[in-house]
Amino acid sequence: MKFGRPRFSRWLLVTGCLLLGGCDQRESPGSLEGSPPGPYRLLLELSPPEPVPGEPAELRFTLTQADSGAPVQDLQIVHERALHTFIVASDFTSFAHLHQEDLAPRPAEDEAQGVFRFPYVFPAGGTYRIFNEFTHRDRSWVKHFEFRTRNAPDGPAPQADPRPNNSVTRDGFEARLSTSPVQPVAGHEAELVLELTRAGRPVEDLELLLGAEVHVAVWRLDGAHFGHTHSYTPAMAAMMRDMAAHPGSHSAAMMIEMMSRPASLEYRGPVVPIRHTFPEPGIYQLFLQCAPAGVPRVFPFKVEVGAWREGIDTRIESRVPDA
Amino acid sequence: MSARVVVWVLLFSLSGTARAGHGLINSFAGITWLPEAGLLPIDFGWRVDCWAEKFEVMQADSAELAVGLLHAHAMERLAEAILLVKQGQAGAAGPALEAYADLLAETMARIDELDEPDQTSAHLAFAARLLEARYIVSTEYPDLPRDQRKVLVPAMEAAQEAYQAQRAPLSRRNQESLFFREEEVRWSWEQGLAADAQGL
Repeated sequence: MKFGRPRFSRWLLVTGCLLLGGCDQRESPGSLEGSPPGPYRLLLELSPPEPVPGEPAELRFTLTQADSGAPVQDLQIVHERALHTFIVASDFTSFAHLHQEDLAPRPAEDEAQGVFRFPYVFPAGGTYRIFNEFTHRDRSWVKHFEFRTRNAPDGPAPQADPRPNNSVTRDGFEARLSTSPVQPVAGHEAELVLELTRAGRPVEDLELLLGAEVHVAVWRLDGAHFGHTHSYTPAMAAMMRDMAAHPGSHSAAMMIEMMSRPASLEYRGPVVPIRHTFPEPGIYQLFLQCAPAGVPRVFPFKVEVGAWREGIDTRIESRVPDA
Repeated sequence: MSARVVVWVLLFSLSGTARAGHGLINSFAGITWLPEAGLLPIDFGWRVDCWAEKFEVMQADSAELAVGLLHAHAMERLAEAILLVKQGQAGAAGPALEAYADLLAETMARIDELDEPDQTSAHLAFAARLLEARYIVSTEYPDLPRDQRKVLVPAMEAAQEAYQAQRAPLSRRNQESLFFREEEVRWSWEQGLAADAQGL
């Protein structure tokens, strides 16, 4: 929620615009500007402007400096990609985590213009949300979009089933998600533990997927509070411990470097720990991506996050070795 | 969670994506940036705008609403000051920066008048907002004209003092929940000051 209120200066601006014949701040048809605003501007051009469910649409993102309009050409490669794009239906019935480089190396002209593009088939008519994550000058940024496809049902966007689930069976796998504390507390880090079996036997052949054993995309069911986190390795735990013991001794650059370097496989399964801080109470949708035997799989869960109150237990019983 | 605590959460929730992340590298990835600067201190009507805002705060029918408005006004003053610095008119940013510091002080005073548990919730929420404000300014700072930007340093010091005042009464667990964001802000501000030291 933003602090919405009429502002004298804006009244003047609106009045002035009316006197001058109106201000048209619309983007071109099919072009959307990512939110929230900030030092970077991300435009999304959809082709066709209103994607048709079941047919390929092209998504073209252009990243520029907000002040100068100059294309951003030197994004940092984090988890093997420059721009991570997550696409979800508003009711979380579909999910995708995509990158231009999944299909082919980025052409030099796209890099020069700050352009990323790839096709996507929206599976059904409805409201979709796209979240883009990128890192520039050792700072990470998120821009998001919301739009409707052709044949989207009239009325408000459908909401997800709010019932939490800590197990899912899919593609012959049984995935369980446990949390510590048992109910995560808003604003306090929690450990999530994925446990994977196949036909009742522990899965022990996980391979790295984009430099991590597990990627997790997180949203509260109202679409707010997007997060993207990964398996929590002993090296990450060591860095966090060292940070806590020696405040002021670490930099964001060091953390980016850790996320950017070639990864080593730490968890073959069946158990993979993950850390996340849920910012506010509510029911959260999580999509966990991993690659048993090298084949990418997605497991959806819903987790209930409670509000902090004095005396509530926020301690983590960690499954990370040596944590 | 009491209804009043819910109100605090809503009042201080600036963004749908703010503060998401695992605290490792992206505590501020989805942060809501400063609002657009409207009238500037050099413009006719700026003071009238400020008076209108004060009147709006006086009219607020709850402490929660008043605190939310005061914070919104503070962010607007910061946006005005940064725009003036970008325009090479740092000398004209003084009234906006003074107003920013005054608004922080007034917000703290209002929070101190609250009863528990609202006061703790407000301390925590306002501390988080102050970290965000410092992160925003520290991110902008290295790209601002180097002969102009130092005018922002006292405002950041005021924000840091206010942050410490909000953090101090919190429980150890709540203080710990702010730690990684504090570290990210510390690093970010050090980058800005390093740019000054190196003449960049």
